[in-house]
Amino acid sequence: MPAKARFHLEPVLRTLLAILSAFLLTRWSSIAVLRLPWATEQAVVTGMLLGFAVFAATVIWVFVADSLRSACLGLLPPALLLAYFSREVML
Amino acid sequence: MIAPLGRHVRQRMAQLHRWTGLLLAWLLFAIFLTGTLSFFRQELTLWMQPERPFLQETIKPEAALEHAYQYLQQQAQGASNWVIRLPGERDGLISLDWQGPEGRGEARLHPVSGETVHVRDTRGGDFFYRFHFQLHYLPVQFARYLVGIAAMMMLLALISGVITHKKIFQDFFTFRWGKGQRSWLDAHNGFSVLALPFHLMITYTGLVTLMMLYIPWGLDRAFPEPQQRQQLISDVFAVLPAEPRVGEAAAMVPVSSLLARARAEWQGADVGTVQISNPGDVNAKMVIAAQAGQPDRLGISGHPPFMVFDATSGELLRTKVSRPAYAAYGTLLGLHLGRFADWPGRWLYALLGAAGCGMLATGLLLWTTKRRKKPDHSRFGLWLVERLNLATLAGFPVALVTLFWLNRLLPLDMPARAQWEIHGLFLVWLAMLLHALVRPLNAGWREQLGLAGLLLLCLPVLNLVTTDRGLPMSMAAGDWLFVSFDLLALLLAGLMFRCAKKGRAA
Repeated sequence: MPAKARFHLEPVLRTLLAILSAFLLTRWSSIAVLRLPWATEQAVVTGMLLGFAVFAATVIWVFVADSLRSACLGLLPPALLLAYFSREVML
Repeated sequence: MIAPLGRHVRQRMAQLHRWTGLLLAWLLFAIFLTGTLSFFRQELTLWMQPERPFLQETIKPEAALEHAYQYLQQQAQGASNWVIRLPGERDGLISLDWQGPEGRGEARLHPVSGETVHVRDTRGGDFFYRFHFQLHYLPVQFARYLVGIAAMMMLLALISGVITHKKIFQDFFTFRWGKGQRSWLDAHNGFSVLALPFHLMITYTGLVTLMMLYIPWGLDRAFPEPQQRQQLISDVFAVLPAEPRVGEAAAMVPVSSLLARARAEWQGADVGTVQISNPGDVNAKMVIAAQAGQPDRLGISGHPPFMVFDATSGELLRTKVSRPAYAAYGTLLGLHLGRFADWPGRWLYALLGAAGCGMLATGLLLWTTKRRKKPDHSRFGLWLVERLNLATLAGFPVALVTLFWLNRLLPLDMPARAQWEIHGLFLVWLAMLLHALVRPLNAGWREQLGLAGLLLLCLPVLNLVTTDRGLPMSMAAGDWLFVSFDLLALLLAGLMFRCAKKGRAA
């Protein structure tokens, strides 16, 4: 890919990755908290209270990472863990 | 951060800051401004309904409740519920709502005499409160999502702004006057850093207020049935149980005994609302909730304590559930609402909110001053941002002040009066937008800011002419609410004229 096109494409891809991954991580974390050994409604409320921090932290991470590749690599462990505990994705 | 903050990271953070900051900044400015006014929601309602008497006597809740009962028994027999709001420090009248066979009814009573007080038809301070999270004219759900997206972008802009900023504290003590871009940058940093903890808190807790809408997945998974979700809500909010009327009449226990029980439970805190479902029926239930704003007795939680009674037997059915996650939720909510604050605390809230408006405004102006120096960028984008800045930063305040004017000028017997006050606000905002699109930029700023200043300057005069609570009278009576409204209008008028004079810098 020519350097100039890449220069313009990169922020767009980062933005898309940020929105998608932040949405999924927030969604999964808000469900995964149900696995905590707490009363259900306490876990639900905790998941909602922390959800915005999860969303914001994910977006910031995607823009802090040196490259798109390292952004994805960094997202992988929490994504797998939360997806597994939320039982939304069969692994 | 894991990686050392290299130049590239900072550049990307600056980019994130620019875009999350810009895209919905005009909406955020309107939200911040109306949200700031919402800290004075009751006070603005008092000003917008000058028919409300200026009360100084201490009010006995038992006597007030007696008046409310008498009125409701005469006027709202057969209603499916009664809601009684007892007067507090900020709102002097008894406010009644009921859901009757012929629809919703409402009334205001004098807390001492029990007579009906007729107030003008206006949304009062509630308009600002509602607007700041669900806007107007838009479907409620859609508008709340939009506000949520804006708030999340604000949170991201705040975090990325902090990371971008190398010398956050040195720069805070730097101000370069009259240096164009540098001055806007310094002002932007000043407003942002000065109140940074507040900005982060108010944005995050704002999202928390609607978290069940924004992050519903855990809730839906754990509680698939709507009744289960309702149960969670009524754990912490004083919700009246929706139960059918049995149809068998039964006498209700005297409410004063339940009132005393509630007060004993809450370290003597005052009761704020009494709600009764199916009044006069065997299946009558009563929810008694504490008055907000008694931090020494109730803390700062946004969920005031409540007790649910069987209204015929007086049996206590349930109370607010206190668990750790609920407490955290209540604290975050309480911090956002600021209802615990006494009047100096509320002014502090308002000042910090105003700093937020200043942060948004200077950020937007900084964007245009920077862009003007880069001729290779899109001219249309610059033109659009410049015009939207004018229509929002100057035009929206003009529209807000118009609301207060219309509140005094529209005929009292006008049909749909409350709605027309608000239509007027948006028509004026639209006019300001059109004005911003056609006028030369500098003239536009001068004219709109000048108009805002003029409207504010004349507002005390209008109040003096149209009510009997003008500045001399309110000063003589010691009515500080009306006095401070007039003085604040004059102060803000001065600020607007100053900005208009310096308008060329925009």
